[in-house]
Amino acid sequence: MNTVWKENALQVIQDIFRNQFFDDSLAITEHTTPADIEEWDSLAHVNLLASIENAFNIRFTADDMANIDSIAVLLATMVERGAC
Amino acid sequence: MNETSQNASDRLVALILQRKPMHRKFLQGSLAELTQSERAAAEQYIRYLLQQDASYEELAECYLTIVQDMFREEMHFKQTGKYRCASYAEAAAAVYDNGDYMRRYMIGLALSSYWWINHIQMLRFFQKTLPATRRGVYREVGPGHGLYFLEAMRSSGFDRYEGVDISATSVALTQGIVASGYFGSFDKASIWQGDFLSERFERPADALVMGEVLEHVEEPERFLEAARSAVADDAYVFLTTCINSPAVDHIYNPETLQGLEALIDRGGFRVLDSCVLPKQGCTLEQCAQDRLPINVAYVVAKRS
Repeated sequence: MNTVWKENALQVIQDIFRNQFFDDSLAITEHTTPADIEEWDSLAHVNLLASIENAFNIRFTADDMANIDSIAVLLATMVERGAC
Repeated sequence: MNETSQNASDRLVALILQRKPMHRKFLQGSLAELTQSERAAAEQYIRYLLQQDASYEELAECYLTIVQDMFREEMHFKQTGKYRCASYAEAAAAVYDNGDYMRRYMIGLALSSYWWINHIQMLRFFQKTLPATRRGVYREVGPGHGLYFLEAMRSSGFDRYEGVDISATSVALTQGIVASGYFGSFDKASIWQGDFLSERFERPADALVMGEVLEHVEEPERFLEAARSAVADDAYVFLTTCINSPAVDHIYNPETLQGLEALIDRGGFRVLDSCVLPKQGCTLEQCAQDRLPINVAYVVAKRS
């Protein structure tokens, strides 16, 4: 995974998380998981991934939806779906 | 309830959240809404499953199966605006004819009935409206995991309890609950595998319950007409269903509350009482606008 792309992607993902949860102090890294963000729950998950799809012009599969459970997995899946 | 009797539920929830922390807020938020007797009922059901040789790991897998599948289907619905299955044959191939999957799915759904606030509220609505002293025949179409059937047997005095389900797995699960003796002694129950639309009943039902059935049928209006012809004129008729709520085996989406109530009317019933539950954390207006899930339960009466 290209380092520059990853840094840029993390910035965009962080903005999406901040908007979703109305929290400008949220810091997202590739090590972030739902255990670190209480609001990242099953109800928010679909909206987060839909926003990421729109921002990167990609489409997650239904299986991606179920399997993405950390930022690291999210980034890897985004690469698989052609975001990089 | 003492601490020991709480352990099975607590241990199972902890295992689920250890595997998928993402569900913590939703699940713990829901569990906080349970009354003491509802906690006791959930505990008893989990202990029953454990006694039937299920392990905690298997039960966690059952629960996670339905939530993970729901994610998949929500994404599909968001992208296409449609449920994945359009016919009964597709749903049967994906779910009903797959015994292992169906068992996991049903047990996962049963756990959600005890744990998810919308499902709990529908069960409360059923408990509140089911006539306790009425006699005659209680008939349930699609008892599925068997929990509504169990609740009816525990809290009403019908002379006979009948359950018909198209799935062999669901029949086995409900029969298991009845025959186990774990929840009490029930000798007036009969559960069999069959298609409600082609069943010929000996006498009209005095109570007809259709929990989470309409969304699984290709022709819901025809189904309601069949239900109408299977009940006494003054029967208690209870149904639950959902709007914009994709699942692996859902076929029919009424799209709107108005659309659903128009269907009920065309099916020959009028609404007496209702319990309308938007997705947790959302308003009904948001759900309608953004096509988010709405759970509904109705008590309806046969129109003359």
